[in-house]
Amino acid sequence: MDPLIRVDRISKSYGSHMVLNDISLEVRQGEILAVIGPSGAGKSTFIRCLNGLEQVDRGSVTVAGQPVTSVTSVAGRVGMVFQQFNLFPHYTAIDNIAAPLRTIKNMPRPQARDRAAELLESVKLADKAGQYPSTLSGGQQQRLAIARALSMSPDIMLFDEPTSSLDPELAHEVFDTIQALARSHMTLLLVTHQMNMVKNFAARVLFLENGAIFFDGTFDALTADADPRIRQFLKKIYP
Amino acid sequence: MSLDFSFLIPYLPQLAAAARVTLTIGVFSFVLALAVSVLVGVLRSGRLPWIVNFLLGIYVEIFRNTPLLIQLFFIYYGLPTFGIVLTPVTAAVIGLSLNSGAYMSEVVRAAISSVNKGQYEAAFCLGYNRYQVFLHIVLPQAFRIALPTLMNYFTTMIKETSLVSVLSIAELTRVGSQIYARTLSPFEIYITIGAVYFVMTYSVALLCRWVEKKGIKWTP
Repeated sequence: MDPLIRVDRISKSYGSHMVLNDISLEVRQGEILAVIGPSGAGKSTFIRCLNGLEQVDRGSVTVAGQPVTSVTSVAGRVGMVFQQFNLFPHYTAIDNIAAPLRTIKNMPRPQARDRAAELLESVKLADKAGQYPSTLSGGQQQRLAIARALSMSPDIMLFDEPTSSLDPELAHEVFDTIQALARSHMTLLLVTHQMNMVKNFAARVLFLENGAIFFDGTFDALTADADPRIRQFLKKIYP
Repeated sequence: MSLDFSFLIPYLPQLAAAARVTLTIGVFSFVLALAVSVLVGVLRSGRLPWIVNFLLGIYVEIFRNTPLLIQLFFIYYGLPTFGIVLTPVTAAVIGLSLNSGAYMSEVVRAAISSVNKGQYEAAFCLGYNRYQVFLHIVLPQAFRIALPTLMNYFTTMIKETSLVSVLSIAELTRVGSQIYARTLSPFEIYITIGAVYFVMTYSVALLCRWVEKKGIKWTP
């Protein structure tokens, strides 16, 4: 079976600073990958290249056979969840999901609202349908953002530090939501610093350093790895 | 000194008519200025051929950097040289709306550029196209940011209409001066005129506050 995501020797620089250096990767349907590494290793830039939010300088990214040339080339097929949620503040919770369905998929209003209500239910926000994002807690906002990304029925979900701006307690709710998604055989790529998240459901871990993949394997193999750089990193965030 | 406002009673109908003219010019100019500012502000926020941006920039800078009075004189007295003859009220409305439109377009532009980059990214990832992002995501948020400032311009606009008295329009300031010339009681007449302006602008300010409160239910 062809891989769902094929990353072929991509590089990217900001000015003279090389952020990604000749990265290649294949991800199969249903795989769950955690991307970890020190700050500035290029983790966020890397997953932003997978949906075209960043343009690569060299190499190519293909998603389900479709070359990623810009964010619009794979919009909807690759869902994205941001650290800062990026909900639409002028829409209520239900409209954050229903409005894009109506605008992008031309879905009639009642249908869009039904679908949105279903998704709200799935992230346990059914009772918050009429509330604006600013009135929701951080954890609720992030769950709403996940539901919104799912509304486009993506093949892949990308998470860019989804719990980094949340209190541990609220991070847990989001964690549960992502875990439920993982069980549904969705292909997930997750940039995170939270090792419990990595440990619990990422079958595969990428360790990025200086814009290159330094390690690619299971969590157990990672913790067993004797490389001093990995050891040092793990000591800091997973004592 | 003693104040006596009773001599103004015969002039009340005249003052009421003048207030109506002031309000009419103010409201029409504001609505037009709003249209101009949204058009110019939106166009200058987009990716347009440099020449369009350049010309719009020239418009904004000329109207922001010359006195309104001179602009009014130019439109009313200067344009007939090019065969464009306008009634005083039309010239006044055009002058006021182009002048305020220039300032307000910068408010609109700033509001648009202050919408968070993450909003564009989230929308693009979902599948919105450029036009849809602008219409459905950016403009409503920019509107909220710009509204209080734009509404301030509305009250300013009503006060600025006093300048159009130079185009011999029978609005409040001019009618006030005429009554003064006849009665030679400057204190009473100007305090009355001032009070009428105050009532109008303050009502507009209250209306604006109401619009802000009722019109926008969300907070960022």
